[in-house]
Parts: sequence; structure tokens; C-alpha cells
Amino acid sequence: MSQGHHQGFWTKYIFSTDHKMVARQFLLLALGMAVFGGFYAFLIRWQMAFPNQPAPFFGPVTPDKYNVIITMHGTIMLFFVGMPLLNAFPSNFLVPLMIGARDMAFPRLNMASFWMTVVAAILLMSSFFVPGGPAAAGWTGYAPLSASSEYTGVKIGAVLWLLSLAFVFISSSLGGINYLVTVVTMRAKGMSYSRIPLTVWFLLAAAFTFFLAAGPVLAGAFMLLMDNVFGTGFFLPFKGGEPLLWQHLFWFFGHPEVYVLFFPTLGFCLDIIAVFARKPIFGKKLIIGSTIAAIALSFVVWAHHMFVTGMNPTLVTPFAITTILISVPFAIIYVCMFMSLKGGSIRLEPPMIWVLGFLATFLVGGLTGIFLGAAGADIYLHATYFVIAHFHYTFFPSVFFGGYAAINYWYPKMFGRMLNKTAAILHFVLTFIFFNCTFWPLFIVGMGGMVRRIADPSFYPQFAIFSHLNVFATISAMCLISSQTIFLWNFFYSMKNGKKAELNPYESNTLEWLAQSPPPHGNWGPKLPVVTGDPYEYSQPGEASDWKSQSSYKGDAIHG
Amino acid sequence: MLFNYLPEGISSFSGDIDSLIHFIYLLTAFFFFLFEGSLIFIILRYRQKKGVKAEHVRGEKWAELKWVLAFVFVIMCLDFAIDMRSTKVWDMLKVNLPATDVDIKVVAKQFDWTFIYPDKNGSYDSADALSSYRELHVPVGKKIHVILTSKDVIHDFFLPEVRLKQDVMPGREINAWFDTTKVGTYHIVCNELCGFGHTRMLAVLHVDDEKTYENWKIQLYKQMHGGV
Repeated sequence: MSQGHHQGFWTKYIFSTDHKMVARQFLLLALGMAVFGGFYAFLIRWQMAFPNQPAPFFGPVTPDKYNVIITMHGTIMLFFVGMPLLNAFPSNFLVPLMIGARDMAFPRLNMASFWMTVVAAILLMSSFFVPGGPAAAGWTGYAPLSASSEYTGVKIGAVLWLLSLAFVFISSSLGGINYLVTVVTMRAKGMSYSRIPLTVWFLLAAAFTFFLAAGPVLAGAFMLLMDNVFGTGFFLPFKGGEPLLWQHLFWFFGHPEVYVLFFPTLGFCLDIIAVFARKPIFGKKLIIGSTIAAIALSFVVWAHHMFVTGMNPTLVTPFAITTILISVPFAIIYVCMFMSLKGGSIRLEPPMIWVLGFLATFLVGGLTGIFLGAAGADIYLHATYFVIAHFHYTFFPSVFFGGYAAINYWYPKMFGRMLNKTAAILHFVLTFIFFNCTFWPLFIVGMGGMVRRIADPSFYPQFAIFSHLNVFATISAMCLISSQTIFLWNFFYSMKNGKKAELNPYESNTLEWLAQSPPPHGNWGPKLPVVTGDPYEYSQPGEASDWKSQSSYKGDAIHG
Repeated sequence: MLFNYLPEGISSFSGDIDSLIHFIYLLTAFFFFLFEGSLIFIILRYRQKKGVKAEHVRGEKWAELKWVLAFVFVIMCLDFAIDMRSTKVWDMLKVNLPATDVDIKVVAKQFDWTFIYPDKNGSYDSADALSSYRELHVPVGKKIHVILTSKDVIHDFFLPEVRLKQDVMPGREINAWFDTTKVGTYHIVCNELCGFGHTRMLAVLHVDDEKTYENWKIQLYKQMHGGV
């Protein structure tokens, strides 16, 4: 192992610059924070089904606590679970391995990026222990509610929330720069842009989209911080400010951010489909073109979150048209995925099952978006539980189905062992069933006019008719959360006790499967791999084998 | 099933919004079954079988792609059909404010609603303007012009049965309108998180016949002016 040298505990496990260790740190952080995010989800559902009965492990969910809980649930799930799980973890682990590099271009920046996220998480969680409690203005932090403690009684918590997000943004930017530079400068010989696997393409698309979107909201967050700390009035109308400005800045970031949390999953899905259907990806160029179109469109749809805010109503129509037009690039990608599956030799291994589950569930999220994008229908549906159901049908499949697909697929490479297959399939089946049972009823509840973000449904006699649906959704949510323990057990148990993984257990073409499992520090032996082929050379007519690796690289110390 | 609990519509435009939602529902339901059905079919039909190799199709040739693009063209046309219907509803309700019969100012603050009826000269500030707390009375069949404003944070004026929703902004006066077709008592809900008392920010919409409405105004005037 030419790159190997002795590393102490601290440099190996804590302040590591090795991209694979940083990736695993991000993964553990995401799983750890998901426990909090999931617990808050449980409290929200508990209060909706059994209002004012003390929640297990918590006590009564009073309205002030409820506002904190929804704010924290959203913030944690998006910035501390979604982004580490879908952006930081896979980008760190896969980008160097899939393009045949030894590490990231800037390993120390990489380490800094992880520890910034840790600081951000500590800032966020510490807000539970300050006077006034944590931020309670929703994860979107609409001003003026979020701009002055006069309205919420929260002062330090709001500042900590903003600082925490600032650290997440810096961390993601450092990471993004790193991924982009690494791909541009450190590709192995022969790894032309057209030979880069789609996972890497989509991770880059996510990083790039984040860059374009982050500027305005950072400026907005700075103004919000000034309003809170120094009494300025950027968003306070009584000081000459404009509350809608915050929403514009926020959603200009917010909608592209949705794709930051969606593109990586598309990448995983495409690569996993190719491997487990043993087929080339259908219409790869069309997919990349559609993605570019989707990125462009994602910057001109933000006001669809604001149809009923009082923004100029004649401006609403162009935003509604661009919003609904987004169905076009994603329909292309969906059809290409289906065409890639069709005619394949489909192996229903756990990673593939998660991908198929993603396709089945995300579809619902995409289709229900059309109700909300149509401004005329949004007049009624805006901010009801229909919206909650809709975006959970996009985020949950994207973050969790996509994240679990990636973890199941690359686990052998990460830890050198296989996950227990029975447990993995059971985990999928239960998650799939209970996810649908949790969120499907909320479409019906939302269409019935139940509004989101109310702390106590018992104040609303008109919602009593939904109580059986709410109880059903809550019990399903509790089962959904409990089912995740199967995964956690499998994840940690298999790390030590799983079956030893072969180098390339799925017979995949991409480069990471040529490295040892797990790859050593420096990834490759004395020589780097030389790339000679396309990542999607599966089932070539006339060939005996149905796969052909991107490189004929043979590692120096191949085991098992 | 989706529409089991849709509240009854009580405005002249509630039917238009509902039928737009139904229209989108039918279209999306079709694509839902199309895609889920294809997915199940593909999984069953193309599962790994001994000795059967996958097809090698790359989707790069025009002959392979033209059906995909034709399909997408259909989707684009349907998108525009939705846009057309949606814009029609939107413009009617939010862009083109019709001539109205009754003006009411809606003042929101943490955490309640006040409805102000102008005096004879159209002033909301004079002593003769009527101020009703958490109760909005409107005469049935009349077009109501509401002027929405907030004293602190953003609120939202949501009348589920009327199918009207409009944010209420501090520092602005937003004009909206609605009408009603049926006498009764309905809901007013704040639909924008506005602080710890958000949940309790409710009001009642009373749709009265002309006579009850006038009587109520007289009663309210008497209450406000000590029974004079």
C-alpha cells in the first residue's frame, strides 16, 4: 500500500482528511440527526392524532413547543439529514473513487467542511438550552415573525438558528468547490466527461445548483440577523422594510434546494438501474439535457410558493406556467428510467428494490405538485395538509428511498462487508407500506381543508371528521419510525459481522468496484486505473459476459 | 376518495375551483395508473431469467427516442391545458376585481380578527364605522370587497367553504373579493403561522339574508354606542 502510512486515532477517525472517512462521518452525522428529526416528526403526528395528551418520552406538546418542533423538524431533516446524506456523504465517498482519483482536490477543506456541519448541529441543538428556546417561526422563517423577538419571544434561539444555517451553507459551499475541482482536475487517464458515471454527474449538478441558489438567501439571512440583533428593519414594514423580500430571497434558494436534495438520488437510481437491470441507461444524453433544463427552470419558479401572499397577481401566471412546465424534463427522465428497465434482466436485490420503491412513490409527489402549481387550485390547497403530503412524497422518497438505495448499494465498498439481505428487504417492505399509510391519508385530509402548522386540532370542530385518518396516519408514522431500527441494527451489526464482501459483488462496471473493499488510504495501488470504456457497457451483443469494467485495472492486493 | 371531505362550496366561483381540481385529478390519476402499471408490468415481465440476456438499447438514435419525445409533447400540451383553465380561475378571482356591493376592512393581529364596516362616507376610522370582533357578517348573494391588513406579522385569511385564501400582510392593504350563495355559518381560519397563539386565531363567517344582516348591523351599532 504505497499511500499507506501510520495514522493515529485522532487523524484517522476524528480529524481525518481521507475522503472516505469524511464521507462516513457525514453519514453517521446524518443518521444521528435523523433520530432527532424523526422524534420531532413523531411529536407532530402525536399532537395531530391525540391532541393535548402527553406524548411518550416528552410530555404535553403545547403550542409554543409545537412551533419549535415543526421548525426543528424541517431544519434538521433538510439541512442535517438530507444534505449530508445525499450530497456530502456520497460526493465525498464516490467522486474520487468513481473518477479514479486518490482523494479530493482539497482534503483539508473537506475536513473543515465536515467539522463546520458539526458546529452547525451543535449551534442548532444548543438553542434548546437558551432563554426563550429555539427558533419557532417555521423552517422557512417568514419575516416579520422571525425578524423580531417581539412576535415570538424567541431571541437567542433565532440567532443561533441563523448562525447554524450559515455554517451549513459554508460547509456545503466548501464541499461543492471540492467536488467540482476534483472532477475537473483529477480524473484518471481516459475518464473523459462522457465516461463519467451519472451518479457523479448528478452530484455535480446538485453542487452547482446549490452554488447558484445560495447567494441571495445568504444575503437575506444576513439581513434577518441584523433585524434580530441590531434592530434594523429590512423585513419589518413598520421600519420601512418589506416582508415579502424575505420570501423572495428564501424561495429563490428554496426551490433549487429541492433539486439539490433530488439530483443525487436520480444519479444513484440511474447507476443502480443499469447494474441491476444489466442494461445501458436509455437516453443518457437526453437525461443530462433534461437535467440542465430542469436546473434552469428551477430558478424561475420560486414564486409558486407565494401565489397567495399578495405578490402582484398578474405575475403569478408566468410562474405557474414555468412550474407546470417542470413536469416536462422530469417526465423525460422518468420515461428514460422506465425504458432502461424495460427489456432488462432485473435482479431484485435490496438497492434495486429501493430504486423501484423510489420510482413508485416519487411519482405521487411529482403528480400532486401539479395541483399546487396550478395557481387557481392553489388558492384553495395552499398551506393545507395536501401540501404536507405532496412534499413528503417528494422529500421522503428522495432522501430516504434514495439514501437507503445508495447505502445498500455501496455498503460493501464502504465497510468491506455485506448487509444482511433479509433484514434489508424487510426494512424496505415495512418502510414502503408505512410511508404510504402515513402520508396518503394526508392528501384526503388536506383536500378536506385541514390547514398545516396548527398546534391543536381540537380547536377546530370542523376537523373532527378527520380524526380517524389522523390517528391512522400517526400510528403508521410510529410504525414507519420504528421500522428504521431494523436498518440501524443491520447497518451497525453488519459492519463487524456481515458476510465479507467481494471486490465487485454486483458485477458493476464503474471504477469504485476495482478498489479494495474498503479502499485503503489513497484508494489505489502504485498505479492509478486507466479508463478504457463507458460505464454502461452491459449486455453487449456477442459478448460472453454481460458486463465490462470501465478499466482493466488490477489492484495490488486483491482479497476474497 | 380524495374528495370525501371537500367542504361544500358556497360561492359563485367555488365550483370553478373545484372543477379545476377535479380536472387535474383526472389527468394525474391517468398518469399515476399508467406509470405504476408499467412499473409493475416491467418488474414482472423482465425479472432475471436463466439464459435470457438483457437487451442492449442505448436510446441515442432518433428511431428509439421519437416515442419518448412524442409522449413528452403530449404532456406539454396537457400542461398548457391545465395552465389555461387555471389562469382563467386565477384571473377571475385575483386579478380582475369585479364591481362589489359591500366593503369590509379585515384587520388581523396576533391572534385575532377584527372586521370593520365603513360609515356612510366610506370611512373606516369614524365613530360610525362598525367594528366586529371575530365575527364577519355578510349579506348573501352580494359581492364583498375585503381590504386585508395586518398590524404585526403575516396572517392568512382562509375561508374554506368560499374557497378563498389570501395572505394578510403588515404594511399593506390587499384587496380581495368573494361572494356567497347560501345562508349559514362558516369558518374563517388563519392559515399562516403567526406565533404561539396561531391555532386560536379563528373567526366565524355568518352569511345572512338581507334583513338579518341589516338587523345585525343595527344591533352592533347599538352595542358600540351604548344602546342609543
